[in-house]
Amino acid sequence: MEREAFFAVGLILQPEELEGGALAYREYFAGLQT
Amino acid sequence: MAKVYEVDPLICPRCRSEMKLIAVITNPAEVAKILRHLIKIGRAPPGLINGQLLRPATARSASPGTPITPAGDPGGPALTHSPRRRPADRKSIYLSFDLPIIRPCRERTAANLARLRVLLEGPDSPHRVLRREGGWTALIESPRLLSEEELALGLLR
Repeated sequence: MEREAFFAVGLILQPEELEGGALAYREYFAGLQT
Repeated sequence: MAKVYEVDPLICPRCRSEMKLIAVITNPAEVAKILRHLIKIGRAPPGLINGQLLRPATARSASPGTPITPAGDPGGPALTHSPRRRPADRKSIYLSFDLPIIRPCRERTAANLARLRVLLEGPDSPHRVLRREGGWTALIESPRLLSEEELALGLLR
């Protein structure tokens, strides 16, 4: 599998924002793969 | 600023009305001079530890850890040089000020990075959290399933 897509995440975000964003990112990619 | 530090620097802490930016001071010696004055008159900003200001890099004569008395005020509050870091340039001068805000920022970025790894990494995960650069940003490596434009638009939606 080609692995060359990169996405930067600001670590100073409020924890709930980072968690929500990471979950949305994970689900979005899961949707693309199915 | 309000989102990250939970403080809106343009709202007056006394009357809560909006303040206007009238000047940006970047000269470390001027910043130190203003802070010395505020310490002297008992109005030190909350970022100073025990009312003390760490000595900026412009005064290079004192050895690390040597308290420096403010010029023209021998009985005034001491300025202490940080022994753990010698700023090499203007950008790092501000990081050498041992402000209380730094520790919570470090704790939050470390906790966020750990949480990001839990959420996005694992034996079956297609994602990988790369080594962070500078501590503020984590780079996620993912399979390229779309073009950059399609990915950005899809995430925005």
